[in-house]
Amino acid sequence: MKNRKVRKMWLLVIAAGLVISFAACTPGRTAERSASGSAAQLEYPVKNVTFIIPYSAGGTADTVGRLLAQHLSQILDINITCVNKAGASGEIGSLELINSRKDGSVIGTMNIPDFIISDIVNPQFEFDLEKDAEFIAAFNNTPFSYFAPAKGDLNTWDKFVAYAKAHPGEVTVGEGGIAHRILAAAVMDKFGIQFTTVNFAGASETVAALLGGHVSAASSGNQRLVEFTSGGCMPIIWEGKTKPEGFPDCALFSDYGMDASFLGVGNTVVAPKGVPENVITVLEAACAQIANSSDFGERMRNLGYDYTSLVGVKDIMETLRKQKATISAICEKYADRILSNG
Amino acid sequence: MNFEILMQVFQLDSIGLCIAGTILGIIFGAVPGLNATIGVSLLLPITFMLSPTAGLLMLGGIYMGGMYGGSITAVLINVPGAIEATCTAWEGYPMTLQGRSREALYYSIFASTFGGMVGILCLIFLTPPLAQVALKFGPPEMLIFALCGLAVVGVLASKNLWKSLFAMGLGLFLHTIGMDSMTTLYRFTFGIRSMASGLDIVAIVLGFFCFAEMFRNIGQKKAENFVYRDIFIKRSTVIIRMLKKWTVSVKASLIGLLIGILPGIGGGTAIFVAYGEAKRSSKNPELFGKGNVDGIIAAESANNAVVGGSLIPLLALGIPGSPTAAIIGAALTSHGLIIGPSLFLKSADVAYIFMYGMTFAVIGMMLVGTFGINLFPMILKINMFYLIPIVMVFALFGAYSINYNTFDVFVAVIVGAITILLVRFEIPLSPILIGFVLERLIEENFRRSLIIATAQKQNIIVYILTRPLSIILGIVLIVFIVYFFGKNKNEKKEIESN
Repeated sequence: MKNRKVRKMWLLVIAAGLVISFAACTPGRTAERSASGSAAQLEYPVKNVTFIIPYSAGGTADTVGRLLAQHLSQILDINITCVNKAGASGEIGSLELINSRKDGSVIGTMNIPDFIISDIVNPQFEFDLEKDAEFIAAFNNTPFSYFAPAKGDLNTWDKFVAYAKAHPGEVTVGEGGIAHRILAAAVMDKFGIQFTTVNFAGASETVAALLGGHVSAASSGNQRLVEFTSGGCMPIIWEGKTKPEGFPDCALFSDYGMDASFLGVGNTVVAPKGVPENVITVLEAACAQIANSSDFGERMRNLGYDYTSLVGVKDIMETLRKQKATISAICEKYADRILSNG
Repeated sequence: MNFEILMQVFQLDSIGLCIAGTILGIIFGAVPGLNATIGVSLLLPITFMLSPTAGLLMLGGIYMGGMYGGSITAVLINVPGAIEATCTAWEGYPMTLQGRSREALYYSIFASTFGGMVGILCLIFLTPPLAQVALKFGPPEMLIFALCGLAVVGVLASKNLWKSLFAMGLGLFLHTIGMDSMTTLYRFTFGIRSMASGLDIVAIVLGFFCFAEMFRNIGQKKAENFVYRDIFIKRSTVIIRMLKKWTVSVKASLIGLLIGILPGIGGGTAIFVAYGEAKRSSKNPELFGKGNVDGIIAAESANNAVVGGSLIPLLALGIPGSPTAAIIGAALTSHGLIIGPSLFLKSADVAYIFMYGMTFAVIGMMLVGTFGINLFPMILKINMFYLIPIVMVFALFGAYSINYNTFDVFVAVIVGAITILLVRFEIPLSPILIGFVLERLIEENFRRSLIIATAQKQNIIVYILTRPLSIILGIVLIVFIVYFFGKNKNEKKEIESN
């Protein structure tokens, strides 16, 4: 009697397990099936599209990604479901994106320059800029700048450089990721100085570290300007064509003949390589419409981004190749400084 | 604050959405594998369609409710829905077996309400000064603070200290798996791509408590012999008893508040520290783990106090105090509001309505929790062999929903299987969790401190000793270690002499 009950229980458990595993397997199987017939022309747009965001919910990449998806779904009149596949600086979600169905039913966003850097520094990131993805559009190009306490000893770039020259390695610069260390390597190279980068988990913690006075300066995205200034800090060198709002005396990288824009953060619309031509055409047209709408640009500027838009696979690839070459050169020269933090 | 804002707080749709969010949060918390963070991120897109305040209050409600919801399943079926409810399960489930589930649930909801209210009141009245606390904690302070949390292992270990230390080491090790965020190097991933993002705490908790508990239930006679008893207890009796133990809830709420304010430490740490402190200061620490209400009061006050705490640096500085607060911050920014000090200047109405409105989340939670107590124990009337598959299906879905990755499902199931071995060898699970939760803080802040100390041409110990807050925290740490492990020794002697 009892044995039967136990057996019944096991049966239920196994049945439940089967249902789940079946549910979990389904997308994978469809992917295989459609991959084989990808070359043919497909009717596009399809009704339901999955939009992969390789970052966790709530981050800036997620916010922009969701806005992009929202605009695309309105323009194309389709349902777009956003899926966050976070992990390993976006590497996991990006790999999933480029390896998914090649029929336009799975698209997504990837952040420039994250995937370029991962491609260069991480041999396990199996991604080829030329062979794996179609970059349909790129929005925003928000570069990094340096910030320091307004009332401190390093509140101008000249003071910063002079101090770092006199005391090599003693200035600590907080940063939120490997891209900032690449910029740091380029800055040290350009100005012939040495300082120490201190890695923090993301931009928020970097802001907190500088506001709390735990580091002497910080390298952070231009969109964080307000957070720094309202906490008593100011930009000391700025990447951009114009000076930051409210700081007419702030130095620009271009004043010293340096261009730090190759690390500007951009949000792309990506489809896996091998999607039919007509899918790309439809998506390009939709992205062009987003780029022309004043609403999207306005919202990006409100978030503090340097808004730019670039639509079209060819143009984007050209800029990406240039970026990759510049970043590669720095990474090769200063691999130890960039990779071995502590 | 002017009258107009106060009137807006009392608008029906905001209150309604806030309470709806709270109920949803309780469900998210109670279902194994789902938690407040997942709930908030799932409902984030919906808030884009609502007004900023209504959307924020709904997310705030989910956060608040989610912190409490886990305790229901923790008390009744020993399956904490989320890590924040694990300590509640240790005390609550033994009470259920004694027929005192009603009492345990009352303590849990009243403690949650108290903690939640402390957090929200501090958010309303003390945001500017408390936000500065978040900034005072630099890498060395965070390092020592995290070590204080680790020292709690000493008080939680009761039988064999070495096994506890082994478990702590295991927890620390498990968290090193994955990509090292400071160098982007992969550690212990064996070339498996999904391992690069490391093991997720949700998957581990599901394995430890959900799968392991259900695996153990399968084929056990316990399930058949279990007779559901419900000893009646008056609400007022519980409230009076809790008021007599006011130090426990006040201390735990303050611990939760502080941990909430500090960026990078979440509710998981808060409950362990609060529970450990309750056990340390208790006159009868030997009763912990056998149904001591102090443990429930401490854990539940702490996890709900985290909510208000983590919103303080978010609203004041734009720095979220927890991952869930970060998503709430995203809801603000996607409405075009810039978080940080300028929020109170440019969109003061939204900020104030949100802060005041959060009290409704606490009140809503209290009402649902108090009056739901007659309904919750229904789950115990379900026959075990229906309950096991139901719980496991939810757990599988929960594990999948972390990152929409089947890898997390495998992790949860494998951890569940290993847990049975760990339990068999009497290796405690709590030190594993504490180690796992604190590893990142300890490792990264140690490395940061070392980098900064080297840059300043100082020894790391000299560097730490030149910082006043570090010295204070260092003394606390030494007291913790001596006291906790000393207590452990005494307890052991008592056990032996008995």
